[in-house]
Amino acid sequence: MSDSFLEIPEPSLPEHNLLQAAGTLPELTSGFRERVVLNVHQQVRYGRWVERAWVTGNIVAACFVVLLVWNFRWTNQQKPQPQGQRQDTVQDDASPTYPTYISPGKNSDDDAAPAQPDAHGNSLPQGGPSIRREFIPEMLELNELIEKLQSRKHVLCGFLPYL
Amino acid sequence: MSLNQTTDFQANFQSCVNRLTQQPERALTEIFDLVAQRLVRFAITITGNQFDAEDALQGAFARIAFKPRLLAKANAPWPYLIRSVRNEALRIIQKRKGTGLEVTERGSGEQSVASQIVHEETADIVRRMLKTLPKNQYQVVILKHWEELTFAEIAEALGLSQNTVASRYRYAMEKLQRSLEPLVR
Repeated sequence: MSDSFLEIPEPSLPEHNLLQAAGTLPELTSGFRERVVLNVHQQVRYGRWVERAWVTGNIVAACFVVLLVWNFRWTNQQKPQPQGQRQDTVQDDASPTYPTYISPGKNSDDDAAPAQPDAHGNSLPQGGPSIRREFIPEMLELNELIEKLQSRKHVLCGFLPYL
Repeated sequence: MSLNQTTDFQANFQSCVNRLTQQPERALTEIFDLVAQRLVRFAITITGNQFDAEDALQGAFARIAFKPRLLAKANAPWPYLIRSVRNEALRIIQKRKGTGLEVTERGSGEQSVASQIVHEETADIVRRMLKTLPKNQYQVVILKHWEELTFAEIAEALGLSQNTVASRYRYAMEKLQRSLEPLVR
């Protein structure tokens, strides 16, 4: 009971004993206990009901959102394509011909090639930027995936985050 | 209250609190039987009469019964319960002021409490002296001596810092020592 760090003495003085002796407990009014116990039981039952209703409401809301997302997804998959193609169908049979991407960056192939002399026979300075770069096939797949997700985003009225 | 009694009380109270989530009705009934008189005694220091103090206790128990986990998960359940009763008592006082039904300071309650202890003249005098203290000091002294809380627990129950509680206690005890001096002799 002592609080030594505050240097308050323990209540052992005569005044403290008088104070403690004066602390008699009051008699509760008749029927008070029964009233409180009844009220407590009602509140416990009401609290349980509210908690269950809250949990049920949350589950219903979550199911509704899942159903909504599923419905939009299904509708998007069923939409017919103008050329008779399915949107989700991946064309595996024909290997696509990718256009060569031209970039001003330096290519590693250029390092091995010797520098060509100009019209006067002087060699051109080496180490300049190249204009050719190999196209990475995975990039096209990624672009297709991004386009697909963006089209779903439009269908879902902007519910999905921007990728 | 002796040290053993205090320890028993705290152990019983804690065991009831531990059963709050499994059997809230039974645990709350046992808690009520254990603490009702003590909490009414404390609430009287705020409301000034026993009827409002009992209403405050009933309100606090109703709130805890609605969400028993609040008390079960409290770091210090006993100061938490005291604080709940105090908040209810303050709410009742506010309502009373709003409706203009303000009871005079320590009116009927004082008489009802005093009538129960007619044969304890000294105790009655001490109680009267206690009631001459400012309310905030009065509450600290009551919680310190009657409920035997530490300053940390009192601070948590009243929503104050420990230093504030300690200084209020010190001021109150200085006044009480002067006024209780004839009784001590």
